[in-house]
Amino acid sequence: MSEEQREEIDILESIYPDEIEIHSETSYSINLSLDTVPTRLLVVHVQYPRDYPEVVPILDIAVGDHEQDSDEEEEQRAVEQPQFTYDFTSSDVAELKASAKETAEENLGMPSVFAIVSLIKDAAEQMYEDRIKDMELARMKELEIAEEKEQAKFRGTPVTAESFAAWRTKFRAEMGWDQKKERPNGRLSGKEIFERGVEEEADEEEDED
Amino acid sequence: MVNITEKIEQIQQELARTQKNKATEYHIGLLKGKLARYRQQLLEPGPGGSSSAGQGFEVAKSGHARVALIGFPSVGKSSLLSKVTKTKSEVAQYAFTTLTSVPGVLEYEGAEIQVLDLPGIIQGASEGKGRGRQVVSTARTADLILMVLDATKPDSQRAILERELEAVGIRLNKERPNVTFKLKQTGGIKVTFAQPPQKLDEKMIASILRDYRIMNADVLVRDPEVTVEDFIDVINEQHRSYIPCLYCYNKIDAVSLEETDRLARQPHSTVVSVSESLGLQDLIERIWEDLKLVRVYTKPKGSKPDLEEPVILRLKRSTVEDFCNTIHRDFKDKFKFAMVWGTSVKHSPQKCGLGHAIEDEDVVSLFTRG
Repeated sequence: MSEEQREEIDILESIYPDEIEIHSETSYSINLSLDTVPTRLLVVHVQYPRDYPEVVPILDIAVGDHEQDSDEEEEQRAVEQPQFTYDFTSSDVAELKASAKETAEENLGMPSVFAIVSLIKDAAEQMYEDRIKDMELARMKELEIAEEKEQAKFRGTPVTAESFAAWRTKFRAEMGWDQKKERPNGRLSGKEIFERGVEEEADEEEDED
Repeated sequence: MVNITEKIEQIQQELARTQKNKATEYHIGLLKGKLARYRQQLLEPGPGGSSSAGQGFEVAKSGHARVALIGFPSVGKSSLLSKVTKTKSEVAQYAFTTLTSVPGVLEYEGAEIQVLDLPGIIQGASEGKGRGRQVVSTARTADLILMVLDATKPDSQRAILERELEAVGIRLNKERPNVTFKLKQTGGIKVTFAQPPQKLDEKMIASILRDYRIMNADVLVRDPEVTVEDFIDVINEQHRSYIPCLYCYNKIDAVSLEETDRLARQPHSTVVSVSESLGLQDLIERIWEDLKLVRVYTKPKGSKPDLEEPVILRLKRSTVEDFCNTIHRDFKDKFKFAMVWGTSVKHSPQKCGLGHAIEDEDVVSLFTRG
């Protein structure tokens, strides 16, 4: 372990006294609490290769459980209940990792973990804000569309006695409601038989008597 | 008495939180069975309670069929009633007008159809609130439910009313599930499926029956599509009513013709504007059709039939025997045969017995002994 590596860990320990967890001489993780509502946690794992800082550190980012200091969180929630909350997905984490790696490469040759961690925190907070904004926008759009749909029924051809009558004629024809009086085989109902005077008398009554 | 309303709420909450999957299927089925039982208790007058509670509202059945109007306040039920029936019910242009049930009579094709405006909506009835219980028992006696809806309001209004009716055991435009259920004294539970069931199994049936404390019964499921809900309906048979429903969208003058067209195309729906008198004739025709009444014209021997005043029968009870019974209870004892003209026979006239099913607009001559 190089002097530079030890020195950086010392510095980080003083910057992140509560957040850092030392795993070994060359590896540690930093628990980042993001300034979001509700608080989201990210865990940044750092491992120094032998030649760091001449090579980039091995970085990993994980989404932490947000169980910590729940009291405080509850309080915060009571104060301001956000309409939307967002949980980082694996693709979000991958995106953060990519930008972290970029920063690491830019800082090749000097200790860069603080810069990287700060960048991750800022980028993640920005990302959270953006995602929430997207959700809000999507919701607004949804509401607009629903409202639009609801309003649409009041626009168009007005219903008047004339327009209704025209529609009704067309509609009834389409449904075939005016033809249903016609029965298969041209059979007539009993009423129609007598109305048209085409009935045969019940001459059987004499037979039976 | 333990508060049933609370129990119902608990079950509903549990149903809402329980995820639907294979593992919870039986549990959900059981919960639904319990829910149906508690809802039933709620609708029954409590022991020792005022047993006459149901009577106060009841309106004597008159005419050939009964239509019950159901809808939210201010959708125009009362105005509709006064437009299509003879009896003028008091209509005021403000909300919550109808407090008692006012029957009107709709005369059509020689039939008298009683049309009942039920007070307000039955919302809350499924929780046993207010007079909901009486309203429900009246709605049950209807041959047709006419659900009056506001064309300017979102579709959700209809779903709310349907849910309420569903909760009190009224099934709209639905046939009774094809399941035979027989209580037995001994022999345990015997379940037979005529075809492999799609949505039920023996274990589910047995566990629901156990919850109802039914130990001995024969169950024959003929329709493979029968669901848990259907089966629960079958157990609660005497508290279920399968009633046709016509959805009547009022106030179409306030929406576009395009929307009117859309609404008219919904199943079992018709569109009207009570205030502008649009579509009322079509509505009456649809009511008539949905009631499935049969007009029978009597023809005295050797003379012309009376085509003005038909005898009205129900389609489900329209045999020559039913026709005889409308004349006199003892008439069928003297019955010899009937001559029938119309669509129910191959050749008009045709000689028919008591069991012959009469169709609409048939002309019938009855011949008696002696």
